[in-house]
Amino acid sequence: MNHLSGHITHIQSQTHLSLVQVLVAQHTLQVLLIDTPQTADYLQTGQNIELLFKETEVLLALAPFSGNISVPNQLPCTVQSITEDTLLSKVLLDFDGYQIVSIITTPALQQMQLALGQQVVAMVKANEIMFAS
Amino acid sequence: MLEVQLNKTLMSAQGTMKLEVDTVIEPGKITTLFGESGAGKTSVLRMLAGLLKPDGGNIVVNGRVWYNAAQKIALPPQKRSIGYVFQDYALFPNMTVRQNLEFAFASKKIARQNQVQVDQLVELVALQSLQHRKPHTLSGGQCQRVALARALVTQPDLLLLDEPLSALDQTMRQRLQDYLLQLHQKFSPTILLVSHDVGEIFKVSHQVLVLEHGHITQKGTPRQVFAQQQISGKFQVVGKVLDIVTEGVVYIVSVLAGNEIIKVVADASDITQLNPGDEVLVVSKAFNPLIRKL
Repeated sequence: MNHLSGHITHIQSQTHLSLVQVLVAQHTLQVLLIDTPQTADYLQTGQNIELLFKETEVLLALAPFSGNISVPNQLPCTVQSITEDTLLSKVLLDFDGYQIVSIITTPALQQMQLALGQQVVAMVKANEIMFAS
Repeated sequence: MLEVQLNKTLMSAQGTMKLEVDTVIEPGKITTLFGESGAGKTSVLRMLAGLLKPDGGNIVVNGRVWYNAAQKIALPPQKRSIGYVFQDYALFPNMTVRQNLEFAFASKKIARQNQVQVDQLVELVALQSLQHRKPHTLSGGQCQRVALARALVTQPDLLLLDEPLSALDQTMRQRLQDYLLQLHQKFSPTILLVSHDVGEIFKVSHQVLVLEHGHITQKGTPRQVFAQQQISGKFQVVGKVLDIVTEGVVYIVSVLAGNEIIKVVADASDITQLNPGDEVLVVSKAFNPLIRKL
């Protein structure tokens, strides 16, 4: 799984859900979860927290990405390595010193014509990120 | 509430071991005593039951003193309100299922007065059609259901379960765990369970006490004790790794969770220290699973 660490900067809660902003290496990420500060003691601004998400939930777009898309987390990354296999391929990315892995289908990789050193945007939906504390 | 302070020097093949336990057991909860063989788990149960004399300490159950070394109080086993279930169920072979339950009462008269209670338990563990059979005609799982029902029929203050399910196969184990949970829901007995099975502990217990070399070294919920990290994902399943296969750039891990085999796609970084047989936590967010009526 992918790991990032940061600290909570803002929490917006309803009765059961919260949308939490986390600052990771100068970038603000949004995380949606079924918890509120009343149900989870780590939900406090300033709290250091680890973010976990699955490699297969990381979408890639060529940078600069100019389309309009509903994914709030758009992380500027550099392609470090590509491992291509029959159906799936693994792309290792550098995100401000963090390593992020994206696993995408090989046809998708091929149509993007990704190359080493290329600038891409790694996208992760807010509901795909978990907190670990 | 159960206050337990016990010390006892135990002799074993490895030499002497000093058992020193000081803890509180929550009423109406299932607490698991977890630890390696020889850590002193069964000795703790036997001392609570009055079958083994401690060197010193104090046992207070719901305000009643069962044992106090300083005051020289040591209630005999029959004066302690306990139920005890062993791995080998220890049913009376010459009695029927129903007679085994009735024999738990102090006299035939009390047994007669509690027929409703007997009926209720026989029904709860689904033994109605077998209640007039003798134990040797029953399967291991059925015998263990009788033993559980018998231990609960007098509504004891404390139910001691010493690895009651470890001799059963996986499917039967799962069913017995379900019965145990149903019985607990119905009667809320205070249960102290000895178990080695982490999946079972996650499923049935509220509290875990880790016993190492005669001392309690950890105490908490199963998640606090067994998971190194608290993870926010709401879809959490504990299971055992059956198999790890590679498919190109990913790995496919098969995990036995309850009776179901689930599959998880994993990255190389996830499986570096993972081997078949390992206990694992499988986590997803509540947003991912689909749900449909069967």
